[in-house]
Amino acid sequence: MFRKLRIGVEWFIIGLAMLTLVITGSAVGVSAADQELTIMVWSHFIPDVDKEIKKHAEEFGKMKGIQVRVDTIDHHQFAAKKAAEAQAKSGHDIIQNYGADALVYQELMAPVDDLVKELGDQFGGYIDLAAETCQVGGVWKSVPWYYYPYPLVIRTDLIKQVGENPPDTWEDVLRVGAKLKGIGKPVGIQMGHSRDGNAALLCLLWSYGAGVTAADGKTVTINSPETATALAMGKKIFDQAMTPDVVSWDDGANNRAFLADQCSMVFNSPSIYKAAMSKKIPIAETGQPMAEAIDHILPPKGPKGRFAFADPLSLGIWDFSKNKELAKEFLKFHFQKAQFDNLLEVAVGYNVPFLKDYRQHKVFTSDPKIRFIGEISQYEHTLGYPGPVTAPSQMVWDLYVIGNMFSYVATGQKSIDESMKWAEKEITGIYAGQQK
Amino acid sequence: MKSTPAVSLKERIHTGQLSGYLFIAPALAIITLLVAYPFLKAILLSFTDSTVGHSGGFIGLDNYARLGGNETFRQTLQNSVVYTVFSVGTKTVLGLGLALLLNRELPWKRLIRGIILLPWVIPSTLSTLGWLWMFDPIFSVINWATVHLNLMERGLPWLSDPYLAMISIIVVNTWRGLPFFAITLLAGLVSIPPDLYRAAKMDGAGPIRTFRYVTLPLLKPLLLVVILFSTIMTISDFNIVYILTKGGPMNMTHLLSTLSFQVGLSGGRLGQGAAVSLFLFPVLAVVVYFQLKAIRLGTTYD
Repeated sequence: MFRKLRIGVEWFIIGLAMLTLVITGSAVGVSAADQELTIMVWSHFIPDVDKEIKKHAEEFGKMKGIQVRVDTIDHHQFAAKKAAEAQAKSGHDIIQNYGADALVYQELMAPVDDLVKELGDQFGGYIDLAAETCQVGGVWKSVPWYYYPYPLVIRTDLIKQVGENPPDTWEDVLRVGAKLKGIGKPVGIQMGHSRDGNAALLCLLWSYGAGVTAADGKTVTINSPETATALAMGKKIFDQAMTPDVVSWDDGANNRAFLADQCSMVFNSPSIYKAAMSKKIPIAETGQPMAEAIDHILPPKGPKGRFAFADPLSLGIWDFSKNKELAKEFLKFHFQKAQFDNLLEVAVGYNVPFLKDYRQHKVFTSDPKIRFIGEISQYEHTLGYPGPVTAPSQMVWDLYVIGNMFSYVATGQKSIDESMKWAEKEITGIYAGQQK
Repeated sequence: MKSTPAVSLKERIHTGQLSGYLFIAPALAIITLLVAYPFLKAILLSFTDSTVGHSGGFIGLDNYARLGGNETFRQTLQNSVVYTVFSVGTKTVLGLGLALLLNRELPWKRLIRGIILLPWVIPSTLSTLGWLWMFDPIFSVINWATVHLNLMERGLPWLSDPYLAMISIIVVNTWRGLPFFAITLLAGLVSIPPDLYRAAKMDGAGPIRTFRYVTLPLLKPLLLVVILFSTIMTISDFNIVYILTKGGPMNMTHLLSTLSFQVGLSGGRLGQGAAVSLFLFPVLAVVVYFQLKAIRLGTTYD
């Protein structure tokens, strides 16, 4: 009897395991049978934008009688999640691309030429930046969505308090910044592991005639007299106009510092302005709404001109998606005026569209504090400039090579020469190790 | 001598001799799928030039050779050694001290022992976020307190000074790992027969000689196990560094895990990222071997 029980226990366990597998398999099968379109984007720095996208998803889902799910992921984790989907060849249908992603993931992105052409014809065509980041070998691999601009965000009241005008050149930033630091409201440009810092410091390099590579996108030119001059200016600004903490600031730190009235000048898209407005943050000393004292101006110019950074985003469809046509339909729906106008409105100038007609949206003209959008585009460049957008240029950005180069010099960890040599070695290694 | 007759599979099933294998099968399956497979896959990846979305080709030890010449990697290796040595060392000393204290008769002993465990029990991401606020350059409660108590004129740059940033992550790791040391060593202390302490006292041994000749030798096997586990967990730490510093400032707090994440996943270079994460594996394997050997020798008073 006991032997029979022991046999029974084993077969019971085997039977239970098989039953579990059958039930799980059925559940997966059942859930797979309901059509669902899935979208993954990173959490926008203005939460209302995520809500708006989810609203579009809900409306489209109701229209088509399907489920549409939008997953928003913190931007720090986004690359890892995306890499996992690429490796597993399984995941969402629509995926956000940024920087050189359309190039990096070109073999896994479904062509979207038909959709891009249709939207371009409908909405006045695209600005040149669109093709730079979304076209690979003449094929559109991603639908240009919008980009983040990087104006200089300033506190006009504090600048007036120190008897100055808004800065127009990097020398002005240094002079005005030193005075602002003197009243306890320094400049806050990240010099470390931060996207905002990357953007600001690339503008500084470009405005002094320096760059990561030459126009061919392959010859590494970071070790140059122009870079040395830019580094020297960065060091001066760090010493005279900023606090040492900027070397550890992440992407949210400049926002927090600005809104906490701890700094007066940062490089950022209009999320600080939006937060100040929506939360009605007052200036402690005067009670004046901080939003009234904020302005966005063009990035400062250097000896070689004025340069601005554009951080491009696009929407791609994984080639392994089983819902490619449905995904294209959603994207077409998303870009229609009824939807896209609202998206631009809630973003308060943070999202600058690639489609020319949308660049006339009233959000860019109705608020004088967002007027910079009309002027900044002529100065805008993105990853890889003066060369094309490439996968190695994306990696230089992701590894914060430029931020580290500046922070080595700023903190005295390395001399200018040593820091440039370090950056040159890092960047050369990145470009050498990149396969086609 | 009569040999044992071979038992057939049918008989083994009939008599329930395979029960043990069936019971451990789920655990083995999980370990194989979630540990063994990723580990072997990482080894294979490290010998290729794979990038995200591109399987790449075999390149031998090229990824490892590149690492040797890379300053960031050398800095990361140095960071990992410093972080591990100081964290484990501090946890060992403080953990042993705390265990000795907890072994005494205290009021509310059980409550205190439970509270001691809290840093270990709280999810590390949450507790590290709390520390992030405590070290924040603007909102740091530590800086606020020290300035308002007139202990300092201005707050310290906990996460922006490279040396303070390393100290900060070591402090957080120590805070988090101390309960593991304390409670485990306490279990060892409790199991030491009190007769030995009585005998030592009768022989005139004071507290230091008692600790040195009675407590420490008997605690040694357990101490070595705890140090071994802690070394492996500390050197592969990710959460604390990723949340507090992301390897900065200037890569001065990067560990192998965070650099591997940055290169492999953020940068898309899977082969290189795998090579970074596996670089210390041979070294750790040797350390583990010798440590386990030392544990097996143990200490007895025969």
